[in-house]
Amino acid sequence: MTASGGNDLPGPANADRPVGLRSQLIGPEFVGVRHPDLASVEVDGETVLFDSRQSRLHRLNHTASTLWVCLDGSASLDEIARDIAEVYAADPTRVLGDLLQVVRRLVDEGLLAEADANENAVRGT
Amino acid sequence: MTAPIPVRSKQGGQCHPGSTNPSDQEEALSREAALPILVAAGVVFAVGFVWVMLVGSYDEYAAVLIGAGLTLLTVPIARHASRVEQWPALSGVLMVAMLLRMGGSIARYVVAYGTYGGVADASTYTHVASSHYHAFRNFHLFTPGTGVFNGLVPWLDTVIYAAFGPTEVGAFLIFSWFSFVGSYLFYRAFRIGFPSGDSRRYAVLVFFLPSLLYWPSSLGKEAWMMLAIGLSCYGLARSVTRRPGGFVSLLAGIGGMLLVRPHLALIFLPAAFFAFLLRGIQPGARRRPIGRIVGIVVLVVSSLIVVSKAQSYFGIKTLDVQTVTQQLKTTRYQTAEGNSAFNPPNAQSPLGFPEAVVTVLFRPFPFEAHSVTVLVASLEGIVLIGLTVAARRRLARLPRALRESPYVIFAVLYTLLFIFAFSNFSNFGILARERVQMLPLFLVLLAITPAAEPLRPRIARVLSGRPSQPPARASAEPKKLPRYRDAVVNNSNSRRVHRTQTRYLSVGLYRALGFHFDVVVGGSQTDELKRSIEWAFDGLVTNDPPTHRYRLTSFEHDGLIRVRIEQDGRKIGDAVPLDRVATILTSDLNEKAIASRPDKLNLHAGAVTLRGRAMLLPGPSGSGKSTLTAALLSIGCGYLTDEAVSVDLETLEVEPYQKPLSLAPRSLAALGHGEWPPFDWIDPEMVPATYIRPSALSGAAPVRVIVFPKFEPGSPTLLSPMHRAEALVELATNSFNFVDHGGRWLEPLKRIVIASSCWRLATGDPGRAASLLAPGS
Repeated sequence: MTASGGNDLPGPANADRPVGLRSQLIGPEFVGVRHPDLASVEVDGETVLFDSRQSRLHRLNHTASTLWVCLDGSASLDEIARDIAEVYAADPTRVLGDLLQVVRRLVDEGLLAEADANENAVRGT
Repeated sequence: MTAPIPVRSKQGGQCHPGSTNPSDQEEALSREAALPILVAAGVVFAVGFVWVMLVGSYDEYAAVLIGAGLTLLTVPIARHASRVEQWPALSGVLMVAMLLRMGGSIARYVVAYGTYGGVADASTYTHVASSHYHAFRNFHLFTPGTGVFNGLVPWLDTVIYAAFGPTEVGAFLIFSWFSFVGSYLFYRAFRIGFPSGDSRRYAVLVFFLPSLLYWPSSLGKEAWMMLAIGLSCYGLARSVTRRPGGFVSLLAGIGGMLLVRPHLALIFLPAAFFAFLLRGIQPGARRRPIGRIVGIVVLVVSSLIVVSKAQSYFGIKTLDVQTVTQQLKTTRYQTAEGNSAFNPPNAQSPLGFPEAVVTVLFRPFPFEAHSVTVLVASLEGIVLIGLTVAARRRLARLPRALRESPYVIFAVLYTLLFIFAFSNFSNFGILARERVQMLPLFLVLLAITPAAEPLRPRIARVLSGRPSQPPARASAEPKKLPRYRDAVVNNSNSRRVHRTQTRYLSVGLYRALGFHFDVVVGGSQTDELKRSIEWAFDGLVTNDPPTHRYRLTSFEHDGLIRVRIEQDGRKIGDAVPLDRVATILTSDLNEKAIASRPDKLNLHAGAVTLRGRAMLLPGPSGSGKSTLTAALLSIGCGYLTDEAVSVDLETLEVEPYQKPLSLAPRSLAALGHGEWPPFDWIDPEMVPATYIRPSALSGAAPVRVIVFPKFEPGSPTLLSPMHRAEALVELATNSFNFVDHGGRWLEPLKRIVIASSCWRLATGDPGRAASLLAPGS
């Protein structure tokens, strides 16, 4: 499960990334929500995200794309990990570990916010 | 579409990045396929050779070995030719042509000894060779009766006997190979001397015309003369196009003619002299007085030697009109023997010359044949008439070709002089054999490219230096700019030429995507500038009225020619060297073209078409997209652009932006266009697509294949499928305007990649990469 690094696009870019959520503090109880300024498209099971604030593109592989769809602010990572483990007949603990890695990276890239703190994250505070 | 199809997973729709590389598979398959063929050929040869040894004589099995040796000798020549010409099939064409000549040689041998019972020139040569080859083996190479100057053909035959033993069939094969090399030299001369000609048609004609396969494929003078005339033509073509080594080949070829048939040199030299003189007035020609003087000296000295030799050959004291007339009468008398004798026309009268043309080119007609050989010759005459009639559209463009190429002038003059001289032959059998020495040059005229190819007239016009014809709608008033041609305007914007009245000349109307413009040129180098722009922007010509104007003003600065470039009064280049103007102009034009299509997806990419569908080649500068585009054009793909692709997001069609390709001269050389630049007034890094292939320009086409190239010197060619999501990201990364539209264009981009197969290409060999991307083009 991977989320590729961002591709910088030619054109104006905002160098200030949204900061406010320390990704290392994210745990199983974290409830994430996709940043509203992102545009996305699904292509052959993978997802391409466009972050207009930074003029960057991100590519999520098939499993990360599944996670991305689930990050709608209604479920914690622990709940999502159990659902995914059930669908893929995998070990929930291992799935959760993978999810945490991906979510932390998505948070670092400014693509994901905590559901309750969404408004602050958007403002970059 | 023969472009690569991605390997799909069971789930469908996905490319597998880890799949096996197709180029490796192709190489492996090629090796696997070639090995059994080589083994089978080796076994067949070994069995055949043993069989010939058991049932035949030394003459025959030595000939088998010589035939095999000549075949092996031809392989590297054919491969080299194929590489030089960037025509993969040429090696096969040459090998087949060589083998057919070997077959023609056997046929000649059988006819000489089977049909005519050995009453042939070859038996005389064989007699001399049989008598003297032992002396030759002791290095007594000039025994009485075998001197080179007494008869080159028997001398060469004796050398062959000394080297390989007494094998007359082997000598037939070696002489046949001489004629094959001669044909190849004719082909190369055509390619060099008449680059806009239809080279593939000429190749088919000169390599496979039955007369040229049969008559010179024999132990005889025709084979040697084919080699000598071919070498002379090759040298002449190089000389008139200012390539090195031309005079050496020319002199060697004329020398070869002198040793066997000096009267052919007498025909060759006036035609060559005239063509050489005219090279100086060719438009765009470099003025090199020393080369011109050397050429004239070479031709004058050659002419004196040829005249002297011809006098000796005919046994006359002076070569003047009277003795020539007398000699023609003698020829008429001497050849009027046998069943094939006829009453020849009088080429010296105005009414008789057309009949002489028909006689020398096409006769005998079938009803005039009285032997099998002459009947076959008559059938070929009918085929030649058919080819000539079918080539009437090509022949209609002869005046243009004459203006364009001194080599075509030479071909016409040589053909006419040959007809004049040989129309006095009054025996069809001799005439059919002798005219093979003229046919390769007559075939040049049948390989003029017809007018159907839309861009060739423009190139020919540029080459001929004639003023451009105004397009049909050129009389329409431009929307914003005053129309003027040859108008005198005050060039107040130029500091260096201020207070002068500069005369500007309109070059033409052009379109770069949605940017419509015209170009006017003026100053001290108006003609060179005009031709340079016409040459480079051949693919952008339009009839639409312009809304913008580029004005180019040439002037002298510190003894150098410089050009000031302005667009609608805004200076975009000052003191630009003449041969950099097209580069600067194109660079500015790219920006304007991209800006003119804000609602389309504009990509930094090359694009070609293959069977009506577009292949995109996106990549940053230096990724090799222009070179790969050029390689794809060379093998038959259509040209859309090499720099800025504009894709309609509804129809997914690529709009042509047929700017000149931005190619380093070494890239062209790697693709086999080693003689670049052809003229010194053009920008050497701006190559019109029609130079690479005259009919290369293509109409709009929908995107169906996307290849992301990466040129790495020395790298093997690797083509790997890409996931479409990855391709989408790469497309957006190589877009000029995706960011302006952001998330709204993700869905249109998805449509493009879903409609296409997507590939990543690493290569150090653009030619090979092109063959892989567009196999069978």
